[in-house]
Amino acid sequence: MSSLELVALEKRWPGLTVRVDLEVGDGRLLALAGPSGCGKSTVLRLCSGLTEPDGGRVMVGGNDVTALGPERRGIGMVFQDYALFPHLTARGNVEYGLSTHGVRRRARKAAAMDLLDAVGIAALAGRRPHELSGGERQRVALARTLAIRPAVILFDEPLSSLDATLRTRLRADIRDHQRRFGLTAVYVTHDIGEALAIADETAVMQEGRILQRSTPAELWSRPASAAVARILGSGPALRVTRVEPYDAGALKATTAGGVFLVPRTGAPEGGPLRVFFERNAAALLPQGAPAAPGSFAVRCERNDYLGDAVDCLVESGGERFLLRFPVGTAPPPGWEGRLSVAPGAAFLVPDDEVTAASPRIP
Amino acid sequence: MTPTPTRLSLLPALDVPRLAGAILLVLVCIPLVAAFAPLVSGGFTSTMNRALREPRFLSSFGFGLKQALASTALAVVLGLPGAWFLARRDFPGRRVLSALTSVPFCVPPLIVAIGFVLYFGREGALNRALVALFGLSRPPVDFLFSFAGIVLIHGFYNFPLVMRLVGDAWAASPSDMEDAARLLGAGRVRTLFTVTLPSLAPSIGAAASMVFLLCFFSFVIVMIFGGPGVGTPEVELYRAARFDLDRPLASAFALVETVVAMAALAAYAWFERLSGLSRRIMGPPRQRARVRTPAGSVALAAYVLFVVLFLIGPLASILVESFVVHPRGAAAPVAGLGNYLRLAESAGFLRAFANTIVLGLSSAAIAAVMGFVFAAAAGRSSTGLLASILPLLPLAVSGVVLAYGWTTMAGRGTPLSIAGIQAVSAYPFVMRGIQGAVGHADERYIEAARTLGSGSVAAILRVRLPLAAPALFSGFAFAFAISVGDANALVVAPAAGFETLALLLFRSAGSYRFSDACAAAVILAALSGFVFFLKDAGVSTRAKARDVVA
Repeated sequence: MSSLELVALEKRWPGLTVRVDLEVGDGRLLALAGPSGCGKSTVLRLCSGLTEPDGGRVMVGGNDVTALGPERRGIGMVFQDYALFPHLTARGNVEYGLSTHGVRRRARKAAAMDLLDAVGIAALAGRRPHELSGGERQRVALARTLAIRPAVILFDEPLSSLDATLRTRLRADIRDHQRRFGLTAVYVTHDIGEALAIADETAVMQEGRILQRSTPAELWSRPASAAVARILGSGPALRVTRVEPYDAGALKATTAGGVFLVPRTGAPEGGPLRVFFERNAAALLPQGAPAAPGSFAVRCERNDYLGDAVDCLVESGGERFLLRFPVGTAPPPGWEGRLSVAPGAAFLVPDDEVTAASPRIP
Repeated sequence: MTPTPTRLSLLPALDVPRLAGAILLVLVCIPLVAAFAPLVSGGFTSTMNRALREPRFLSSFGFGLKQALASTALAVVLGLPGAWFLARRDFPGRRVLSALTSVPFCVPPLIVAIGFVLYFGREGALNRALVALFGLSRPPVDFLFSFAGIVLIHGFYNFPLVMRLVGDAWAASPSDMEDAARLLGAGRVRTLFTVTLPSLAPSIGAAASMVFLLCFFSFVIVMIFGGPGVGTPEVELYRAARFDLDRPLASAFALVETVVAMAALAAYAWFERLSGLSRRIMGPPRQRARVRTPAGSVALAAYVLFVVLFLIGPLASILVESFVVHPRGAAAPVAGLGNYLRLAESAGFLRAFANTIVLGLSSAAIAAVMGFVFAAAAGRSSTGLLASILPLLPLAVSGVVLAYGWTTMAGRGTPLSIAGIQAVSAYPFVMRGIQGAVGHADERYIEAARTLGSGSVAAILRVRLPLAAPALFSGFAFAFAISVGDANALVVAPAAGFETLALLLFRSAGSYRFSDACAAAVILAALSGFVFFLKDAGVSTRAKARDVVA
């Protein structure tokens, strides 16, 4: 058993306090996503012991490791720019951790070659880091970390300096290795797509706090707040000016652009609210359709052709947001009319974006 | 408005590489060939054979290498902690420590030598303090005029250079590497010795080769402290040419010395290339952490105290001593401006002062032009060979060898040839700053200007020159400081009747008239300080986009 548990782990910087409670089950991969500067890398440094916390505990497999130095926690880390040792070869880099763990020279060499083979670059074992490409360096960094058989492995934006195609491929490789070695992993990234694609579960961070933590699918379609919806970009969260009862199961939520029917169950109580629906949940109504509940008025400002879909920048009641349509069904630029959202597809979320630059609708 | 693919030239009417070649020929190659020529005229092999049998020839090189190696080791040991503090820690006084790294460039060896005599000498400040403190009967510190003294001075004089060169590399290397080592199971000490220092090895090697070169070429310090015994090859070259009138032997010194220097320079270039390679794979550096722990504060305080004691102390004692007047007879010394007044009244002072300024301005101008032209030429060279060789080459040629070369041609020096020699000595330090501003790094700006409709001349005047201006100012100031403090060229190739402050200083120090020497040293320092002040004022009015200190 080597689960990772962070209990009220806290670090205070001037202007930002990072405070998290988090638990990652044995062999699971948790992605930590959020805008840059939200404290997600700090969480990794606190976990690994590279940064001293101001409070809280780090538990690995049920043991409190908070007091241990980074070299004694059984935690490995893959760094953003790989942090390969420039004076050692690829194999030397992989052997480094083995030698600190007292592995004999011959066993060390064999183990390093096995790992380099596992990540597919055994042929480059004798090269120095500057003679390797970005993707190859990434693989060396992974092999180097796997070599010490860590109970928990941390990834700090491991793919951010690679190009898009390579990123997708290496992402899958990292996932395979993590499963094969049965490692408990935390994967930090600012790329939401990556965070959703790689993880068993994803946590979204903002300003030092975890806003929501769930499975990628849940996170995408059921964001817990307007900020989560904005960070994920899975759909608009429009300001609600008025909420009234509609029928037994539904409420009527009015925005500047229209009226949405939302379920009563799960609706937040009190405070400013927004209405969320997924970006592909809106459908065109015929021209001249009445302003019925469940529909809102839009003006289409721009179309971005994506190949298998069209993103449409629309304006509704003073708010601008993107909606996604199948090719051929998107409203053309300049189009004005109404869109509908099916009852149940839209729901209320608390508005935690009151600090945003645009003024709040009273 | 389609930009035509013309060759972008710095000086449109001139072929820049050819101009650079001409400058190199006149200022370096010709005097160098002249310095070696007496070897050939007497038959090369027989002259070399005679030199090798000459006992002081080999022992001079033995001494030169030994003292340079020991001095380098000392400078590295002293410089590394400072490099770490500069690169990795934030603390009050960090800027002061960082400013100290220009000492080896701006403070001439002559002044440092005088400072060390005043501070560490038998009657020096340190001994007086120790005698008074512990009631000793005789001065306890007595090693100055010995091998140890020379090594000590060289080590303390040059450690800021190590601090600077290694500190820069250290600051650029991300601490991620050390974090990775910790997570792979290494403790702090193991991380230092298996990751941090090995990854810095190329820059440490480069700094060490540079310091070795400077110590190997040391002239005045060895002249003053070396005593009558065998000196460094520079000193022996001078003695052979000047006192024994044995030109073939002097030339043999010049040749072997230059070969040794070339080897050191090759090592420097090799280390620089290595450190460039490892820099390529590194991510962005992390921010400096504050010094917070008690142990850290104690270590920092100890280091600063040590710098104050051994580097600032000697320099400060010059300033103090310059205001201490020793009246004739046994009367007690008094504070006053007497030394300055006596200096000002002495015959030839005003002339020497004026000469110093004229010489300083001329060599600085030559060095700046050299730097600009060479940087432009290096930027244009497609192979990169010029770019890597040109900035370094003159480093392997000492001012003493050049000056000796001029005397073999003309019998004596002229103010112009002296300015040329000093410009060559100063130029490598100028080049470093200018190259970044003029070299290929900025070709993009020129291209941008061309696509925006500037003609090639306009692009140079409106883009290249303004970009290079701060670096040129800075290079000019460095060259000026090096020139006004340099006595080597004039000692070896005296230009009849041409006196400078540095020469005055050299003579008074040589005859132990330290009161006069101190006053002259302070005036000298004030002069180059003034030029640095002008430079900073001039540069800060522009966008201070580039830090151009060598």
